Amino acid sequence: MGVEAQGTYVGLRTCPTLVGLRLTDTSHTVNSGLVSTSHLVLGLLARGERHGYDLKREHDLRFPSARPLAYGQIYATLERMQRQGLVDAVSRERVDGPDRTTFRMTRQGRKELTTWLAEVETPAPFVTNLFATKVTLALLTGDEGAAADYLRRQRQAHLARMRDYTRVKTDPESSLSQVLAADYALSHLDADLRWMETALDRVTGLTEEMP
Amino acid sequence: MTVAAALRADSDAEMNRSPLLSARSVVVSYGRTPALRGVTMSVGGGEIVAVTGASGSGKSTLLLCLAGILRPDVGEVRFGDRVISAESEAARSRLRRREFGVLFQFGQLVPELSAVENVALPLLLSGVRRRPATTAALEWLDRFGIADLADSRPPQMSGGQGQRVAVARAMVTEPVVVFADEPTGALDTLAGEQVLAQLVRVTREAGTTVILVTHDTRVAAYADREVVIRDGMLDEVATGSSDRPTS
Amino acid sequence: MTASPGPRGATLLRLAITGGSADRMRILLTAMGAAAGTLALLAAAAVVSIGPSDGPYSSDVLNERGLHQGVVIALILLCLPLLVFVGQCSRIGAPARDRRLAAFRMAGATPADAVKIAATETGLAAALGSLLGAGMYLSGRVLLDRPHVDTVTVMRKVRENLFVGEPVTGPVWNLPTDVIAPWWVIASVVIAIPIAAGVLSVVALRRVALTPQGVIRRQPLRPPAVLPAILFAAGAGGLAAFEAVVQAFGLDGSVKALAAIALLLLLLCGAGLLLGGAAIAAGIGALLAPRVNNPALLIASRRMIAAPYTASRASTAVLLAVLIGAVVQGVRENFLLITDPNESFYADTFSLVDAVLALAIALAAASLLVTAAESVVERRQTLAALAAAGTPRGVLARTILAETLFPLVPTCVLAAAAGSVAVRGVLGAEVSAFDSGATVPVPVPWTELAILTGGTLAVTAAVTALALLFLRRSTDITELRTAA
Repeated sequence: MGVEAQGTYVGLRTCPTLVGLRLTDTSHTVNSGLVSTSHLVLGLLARGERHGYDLKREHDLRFPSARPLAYGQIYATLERMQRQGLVDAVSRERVDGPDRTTFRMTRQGRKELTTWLAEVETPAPFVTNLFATKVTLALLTGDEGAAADYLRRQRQAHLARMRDYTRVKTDPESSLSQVLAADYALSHLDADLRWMETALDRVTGLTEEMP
Repeated sequence: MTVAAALRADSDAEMNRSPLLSARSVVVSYGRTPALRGVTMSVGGGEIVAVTGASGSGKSTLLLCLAGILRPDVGEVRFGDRVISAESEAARSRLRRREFGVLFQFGQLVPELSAVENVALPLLLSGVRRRPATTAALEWLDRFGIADLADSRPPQMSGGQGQRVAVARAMVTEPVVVFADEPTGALDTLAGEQVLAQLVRVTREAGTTVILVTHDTRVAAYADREVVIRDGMLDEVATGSSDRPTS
Repeated sequence: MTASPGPRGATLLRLAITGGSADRMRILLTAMGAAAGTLALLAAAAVVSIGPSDGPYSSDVLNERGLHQGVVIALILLCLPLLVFVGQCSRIGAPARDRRLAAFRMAGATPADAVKIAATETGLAAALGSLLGAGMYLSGRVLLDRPHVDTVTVMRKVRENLFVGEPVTGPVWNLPTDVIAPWWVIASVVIAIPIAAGVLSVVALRRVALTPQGVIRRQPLRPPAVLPAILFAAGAGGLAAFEAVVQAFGLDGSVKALAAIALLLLLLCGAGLLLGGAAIAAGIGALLAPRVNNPALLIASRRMIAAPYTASRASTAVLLAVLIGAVVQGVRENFLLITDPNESFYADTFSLVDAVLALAIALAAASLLVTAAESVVERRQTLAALAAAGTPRGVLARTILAETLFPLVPTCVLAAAAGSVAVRGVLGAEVSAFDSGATVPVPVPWTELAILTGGTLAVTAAVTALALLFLRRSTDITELRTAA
């Protein structure tokens, strides 16, 4: 738990619903939208010892749609984790340049990773919904037509984006992680679309219910 | 495939194509219940178009009209330079057999026939002899990686396998247009994706036009564009500018 | 209002009579079948009741007390195809009723309750019909009781084996409207018919699993072929070599014993045909399916393999009619040679039997219509999809015709052959003619047999064509919108 509090966060986005729209960031948006670098590093060390540069390369390869990790960020995280006893420095080698330290996961580190992976994430208590806010505000200004029109055009934009992800998904050259990321984005876009459909029905049919 | 490539493909799909199939002011009523209240739309050759809408919106009725299965009460349906809405049932039947392929949610395979016989059936109906028809059917099954199902009967197959056989049957005559009405409606997500991916792949390769009716936006996302039907009318705003009637 | 384990009678009644137009059709046809059966049985009862002081009648068949037995047997035999017809009727509108029965199960009815509901419905319809039949009989008795004055020849028994025809002038009845069966006979016929119909519908549902999810029809995978073949061969062989069989078993030559053996062998033949029908259908299907180019034949032959019992179930009554018909034709040929050609009595009697036979075939064809219609309605989703894909209705129509007729042709021919062989085996292929006394060969009644078999098949084809009227509605595109 202490680890999580001190973690450096990647994939930070202020509006979770919009995250789905950014093609650059999906795999690191787990529920609350945040994954600590510590846990990322632990996960990447699960298959054996690595030095910092390996970790960066492997991260960028496995999570192509995430923001690339900075080497310095990895180094700082590893240092801190070593102090916490989560990783061990194994060896130090020198290949025409700065020192390269190889790290491996300690027993405590594996325990932390296993616990974290098995832990159920608290579903977000509420969703900051930009669309809902827009629709509500449009209705408050007394313009149902504009609200409905906005929803229809937003729906169109969403579907266009879903088509992009579907193409990624059906491309035989896409990797499994790309397909999984596309599935995730599609599910979220689909949820948005369903909300829009219902909202459209409510707006066009039940405007008198607005107080 | 990168997302940037996907975005480029998106703009390719919006390229203007000459209309192959079109409906003009189509009105259909079932008894006193109006199903379509004046729909105008057109589909270009090689396009994959999703027709979406809530259940009861009239989207399936639109497909039936476009496929020449149902004759509209008012308005006309054109296929190339033919006004198919004015043709006899026999002529439309022949048209469907030769130029169209159909795919439904369920029930299109004859349960007593084996997979290969089901796929060969449209060819037999067009007068092809048994042996060449069987060879062609086997080739299609093989292309979809389900050649091992050739001798199975539909009740012995899973829903997804059955629908893949149905896609093979819809494609065996190398149709100009394939009409699909909720083709994955009875399948789970992954089986449905397999069927859709297969349908989209073969129809793109062959340049076949596809009309895909669905209530599921995830299915609609397989198409190049979407036509939204709401209460028997075209929702022009949601459908987008490309399909506004041009008169 | 006791804590009974099942639904009360009133509940059963209410559940049994709810339903749509197909249900009403079924109830109507069941009632009509039951009415006709009641009429036939009451007529038989009246014939039995004719005493020495009754009559005379314009028909010798009724005046000859020795012939009453035959008339009664004919009338009761007529009830057989009627029963089959009523049994088939319990399947009309099957999909709608299946859904209804499934809904009852879903609502908590046990399988036994569901069967009870179905049986109650058939029983009620039959009760209605048998009351109607009894009413028709009783009112017909009064309305048709119009004796006219005429002279008829009545046989008087002078001594054992010697009858003398005596002309009698006086009131003559066309039908035995002057007699009536005891009230308890009429009452038991009226009661027995609905019970028999109810039991029959339970029998019809015996292979059917009534689950809350729907009605599942179980059918054995492979129809029996060996046992029916043995039965048929034993029956037909025994009849063909009847004399040898009688001698080999050292049976005494009393007419009754011989008749019993002949009947037994004929029954074996019939049972073999009926049981083997499914195997024959499947066999023809297996022969055709891999070879045909014609899509209609392909579907029909695959269907014969997949559902061989549909065909055999339908053709039961038809086959029985053809078998009995062939026997009758043979017997006629024989009798007309050994009896006085100037005496029109036998020729008249055989004409009457022919009329009964034609009626039986018509009834058998009617139950075939029910089966054909049911098979169309049951497969409506597939048919609608085929039509949507551009399959001409003509192809679909030919499919249905082929799957009904193909299995019927060989079984009908076999039935006709067995019937003819039976007569020739039992009564002999040579007889001493009435006029010359010389031994003459009995001709095979080829024309009659051809009319019998060909006519039956033609009627069957015509009736199946009627079932195709259901095709248009069943290929309606709305059928594609609902799950099977």
